[in-house]
Amino acid sequence: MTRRASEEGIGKPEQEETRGAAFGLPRPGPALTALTTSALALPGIAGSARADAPIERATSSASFSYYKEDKLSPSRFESSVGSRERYEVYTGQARFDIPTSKRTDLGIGLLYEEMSGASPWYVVADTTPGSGGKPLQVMSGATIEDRRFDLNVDLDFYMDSGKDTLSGGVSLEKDYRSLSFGIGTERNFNDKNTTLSLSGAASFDEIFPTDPELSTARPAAGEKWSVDVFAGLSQILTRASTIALTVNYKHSDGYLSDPYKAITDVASTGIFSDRRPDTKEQASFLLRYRHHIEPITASIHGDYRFYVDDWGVVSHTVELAWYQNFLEWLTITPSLRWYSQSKADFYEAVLPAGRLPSERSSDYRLSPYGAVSWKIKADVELLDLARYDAPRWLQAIGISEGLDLIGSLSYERYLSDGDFGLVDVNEAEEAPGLVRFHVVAFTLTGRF
Amino acid sequence: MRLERFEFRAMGSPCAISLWARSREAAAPVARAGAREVDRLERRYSRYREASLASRINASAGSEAGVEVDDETAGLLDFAATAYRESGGRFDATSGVLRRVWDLKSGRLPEPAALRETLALVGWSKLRWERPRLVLPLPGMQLDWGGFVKEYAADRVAELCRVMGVGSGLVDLGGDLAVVGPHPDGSPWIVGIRNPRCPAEAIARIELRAGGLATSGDYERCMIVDGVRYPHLLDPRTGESFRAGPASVSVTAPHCLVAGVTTTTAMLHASAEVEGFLRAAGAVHLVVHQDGRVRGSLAGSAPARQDHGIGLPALV
Repeated sequence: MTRRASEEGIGKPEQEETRGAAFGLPRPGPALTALTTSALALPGIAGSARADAPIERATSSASFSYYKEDKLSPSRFESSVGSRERYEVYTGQARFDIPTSKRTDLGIGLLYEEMSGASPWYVVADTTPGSGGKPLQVMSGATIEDRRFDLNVDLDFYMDSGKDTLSGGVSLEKDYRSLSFGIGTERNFNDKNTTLSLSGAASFDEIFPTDPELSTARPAAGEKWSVDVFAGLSQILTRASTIALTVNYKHSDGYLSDPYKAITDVASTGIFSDRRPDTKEQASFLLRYRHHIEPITASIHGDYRFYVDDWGVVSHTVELAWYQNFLEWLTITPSLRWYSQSKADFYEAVLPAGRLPSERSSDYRLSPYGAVSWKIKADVELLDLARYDAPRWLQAIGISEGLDLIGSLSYERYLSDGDFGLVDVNEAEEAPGLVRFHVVAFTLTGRF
Repeated sequence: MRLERFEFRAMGSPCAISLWARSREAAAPVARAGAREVDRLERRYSRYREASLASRINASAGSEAGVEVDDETAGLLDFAATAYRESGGRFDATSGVLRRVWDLKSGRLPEPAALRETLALVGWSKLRWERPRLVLPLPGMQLDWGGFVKEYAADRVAELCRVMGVGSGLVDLGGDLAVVGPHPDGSPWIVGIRNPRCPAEAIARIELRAGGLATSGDYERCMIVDGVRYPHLLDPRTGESFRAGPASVSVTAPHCLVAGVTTTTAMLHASAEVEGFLRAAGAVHLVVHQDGRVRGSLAGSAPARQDHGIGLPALV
């Protein structure tokens, strides 16, 4: 199918009037001008700006994932209480996107999660002679079992130059309740090459710690609220590349401590509750670059995120992903992520003897550390009825406009360690509870 | 870079998407997205599909409430209105109903009374189109999208290929062509136009670097009654088979959609007038007359090579 075989004999047409479309069009008369103007108003025709539109087909997806944390290493475990077995989470999720009118679509997301396992409680200094007092993790004694249920609803309103979004959500756990609400708007400029988005969200969370009598440190209830604002700008650079910057600011107020964590001092004079400031200011900047490499049907995604908060944590995240399409129906995406953070001002693995600051935490998530993770994902098109008439049984349930079914399977490995970050972490400071986990996820998406 | 050709059938015609890409695997998703787009439009605008939007619109004929249509359909209706006006009534999307009385298989001419009755249902000016509401006031009125949706689909698919990153290619939907972009070396596509009286042979070759090319011919379908050839080319103004026109007309324009309407309109001009009409319209054209003469701004250019021969529309 190359045109080599017949390439000889290319010559310029001999007469003036043989010049066709290739050499310039004659001046169109009014009829053609009117027709062309009318054609240009149609969507998806060259030269016409495309309006944003709601999705045309209902899409629903169901996914299942299994998250498993590695057992705590024996060399970092205080073995007198608790279990080395850490969290295990089963998650089922469903999402429905439904076109509701010419100008709106509705999205509904559901999540159900079951988690069990022990979690890091507090850290003690190793008292074995010769150990140098290195920190050991004390795990919660009882296995925690909990369930979470989430519901999120969003409504998109489309107009010629963008869309507005209203969203709301609720999240319920045995000991936790969260309500959230958000509004957002997106506007396109510059022939749709530039998109500006602004959004705001507010949430109100309540926590009712289980077994408050277990520890005097555990409050009976706490609540917090937070406000989040986002501003984003994305710019199409060339036909193959896009860049986007998102800035996010979040303010939180209320009970921000973790009732299931505690802290002690080197002499173990007592187990004290985790106590964090009552407010938190967070800011982050996310820069994303997407480049499509047409000749090999691949895309490269590069992200960098800078984060800072007034608790003293500064973090950097770099993520690279390679989307490679094979044949027509398979996409393999390997990705690599690196993360580094500095510690919160009030973080201590173990408090020095005789000192009990009013703000304190031994939570490994506030410790100085770095993390690397890698992930591989395969998306497979399982069924493609878009080009064929649906079988009778599908028509019987109202599906006649074709159906696509896409299956996606992914595996992720995550490792965190004091040595992986940018900051030098001394042994006494390194959190023994730093987590390592695997995630396997399967998603089935159908478009109707 | 290789030139990859993907063939499929849609809208009752053989279709082909030719794309330059590094490999067939690289081009295939783009071609398939294009085929899906054609399929989507066929599902919406085919009058043969009961569930299509076109069938729903036709089912509303006679109801004062009419139907409310989406933006894409509204754009096509606006286009059809412009085409009706600019063609002096020769391009009329309500004329499809005439097929009911012009039954080619019967080999009989329509009964004059039946023709009169049907003609009463034809006429763009009889329908009420006030965006977004369309009312077909007369029971039995029909809108037929067949005269321009295939051309529109060709333009859409070409644009879709460009958006998906393919810069060189050609879309052929049953003889309606839209250029994605010229060959990677910048040279134009060379398209052979079939001889209406001898479809195996190219009567002219046209260079096409951008835009669209459409061809209408009287060879598609016809019936012969008492030795007289009645092409299936019905004049919406009279309801009669139009026999005074040329054998075929090809037009290039920035959009296949515009080229298509122009060829349809030109075919309903008498042979002696058709070239004048096309020149006045400013259309780059090629006319093949009934006696085989080839005329027009595209005539005479016959590069020896040919990239693409236009497929004949299928005989239904």
